[in-house]
Amino acid sequence: MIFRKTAVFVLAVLLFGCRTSPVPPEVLEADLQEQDLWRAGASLFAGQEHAAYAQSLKSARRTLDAENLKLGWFRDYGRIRRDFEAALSAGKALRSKVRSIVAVKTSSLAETATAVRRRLQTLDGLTRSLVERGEARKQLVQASILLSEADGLTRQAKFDEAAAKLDSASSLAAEAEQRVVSYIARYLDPAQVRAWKTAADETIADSRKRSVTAVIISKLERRLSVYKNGEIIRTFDIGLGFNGLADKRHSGDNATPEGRYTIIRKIPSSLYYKALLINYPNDEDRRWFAREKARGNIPGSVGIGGDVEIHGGGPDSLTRGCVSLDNNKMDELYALVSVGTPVTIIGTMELDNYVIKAIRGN
Amino acid sequence: MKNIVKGLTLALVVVFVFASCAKAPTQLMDSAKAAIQGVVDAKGGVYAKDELNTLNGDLQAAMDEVTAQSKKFFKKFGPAKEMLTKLVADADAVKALIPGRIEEAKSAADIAVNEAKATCEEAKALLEKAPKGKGTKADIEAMKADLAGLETAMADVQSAVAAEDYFGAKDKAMVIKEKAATIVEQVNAAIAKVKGR
Repeated sequence: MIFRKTAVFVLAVLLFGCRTSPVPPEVLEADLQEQDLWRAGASLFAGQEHAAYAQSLKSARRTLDAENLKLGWFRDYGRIRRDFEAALSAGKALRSKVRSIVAVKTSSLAETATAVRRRLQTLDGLTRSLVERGEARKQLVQASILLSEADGLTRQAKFDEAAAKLDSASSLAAEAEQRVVSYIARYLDPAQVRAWKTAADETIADSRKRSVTAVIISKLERRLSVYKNGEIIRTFDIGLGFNGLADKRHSGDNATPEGRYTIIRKIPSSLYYKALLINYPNDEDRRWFAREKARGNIPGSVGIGGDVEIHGGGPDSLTRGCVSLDNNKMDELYALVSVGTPVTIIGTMELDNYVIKAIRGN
Repeated sequence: MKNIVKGLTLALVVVFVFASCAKAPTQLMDSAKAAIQGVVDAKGGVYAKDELNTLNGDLQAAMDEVTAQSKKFFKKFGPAKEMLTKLVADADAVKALIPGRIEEAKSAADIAVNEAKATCEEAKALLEKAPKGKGTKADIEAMKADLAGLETAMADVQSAVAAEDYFGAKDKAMVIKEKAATIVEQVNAAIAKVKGR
């Protein structure tokens, strides 16, 4: 009798007591999803939806806890599974929303970064071509560092910090642009450009009228053009002074003078290959210099400067005010001109010059 | 009958005393909150982000348990107390981790700063001896201005280190190093160009 009772009990335990269903896999999945959502910054980017999701997960976990308190053979994970499935589904929707918010933010920041990067590239090109080697370039480098940092922060989804870095980069770029613009303000002034164009047109007209060769040097375009009988016959790339875009005011300012000059001497062997000496300072330069000195705009101890040449040695933009060409180009030019050839040096003839385009593009 | 009523009343009193009057573990709750605040104050938000999140999640779960039990007639705060006690211990363990992590971040930042400085110095030395002939002088001058910009940015790195923003300092130093290395490459290319003439 005892044996029979024991056997029934063991059988009952085997049949019912050990029939505890395993915890549904959705429970572990929900744990992983919760971590993933936290890492994705769900509460940060979609606060309301995250709160609703958290509530649904909490309620599912509470049901699970309650169910776990029951004896194994009374547990029913069917409802638990349904609750966790609902939480997982809410989490999935939330993840998708977070992904889309992150994509929008990333794309918006990338757009701003591209605009700043384009601006920096333009200014980099301008400072190089304008031979601006000072504060503007320093600011451009600092801005490019901030831009790189912003890229890294965007990748880490630290959007607010990235936006702040981009703002700083943009401000630095604006300051650099202001410096560049102040450096080349004359090239942005239509009245000044028209005056330069008039001087060039008159030189060309004179070349046509007197059937002579004339040289026009356009500083902004770094271009020397040779005219014969009013027609352009040859152009060369040139380099200018370290401060080449400025009009020469006195000795040592590294600027290239602007005005109407003539070649007064051909030098077959100079420090920089061959050279053509022009008559800077001319009478107009002297009058202007005397007036400015009298007004106190130029220090008394400073001279007007001189020995401005067109010479070989390469079209580097770091002469002390001379105009430089490649040696082989110098050979050609040397053969085309003679003592007395008019040389008109202007800023630019083009009202819509590349500086204006670049600045407008920004 | 009288005895039955007395017995029931006594039983009710006992149940009321032992179940309904169980108190929420407020002291433990305060300790847990203080322990988490300790982690936050020790810069856990920066150096133990994941752990801090887990601690906050655990605190929330413990508080939920306390709230759930408070609403019941037969209150059972045992599990909540266990959760809170574990939380305090976990928070203390996380807090203990932070100084090591700060040291690690500081040391990584120091390495990045030193490398950036060294690369800037290398660029500076190369620029000093770079050939300033025709064709290279303009570029050399441009690179000098760029290097000056990098040196100015190095001051920001030092400020970040001083403010114990080691991750920020490291990131900036790495960008500076990369840009200084570009200058080094360019100067070397200019030197090679001149030597090749």
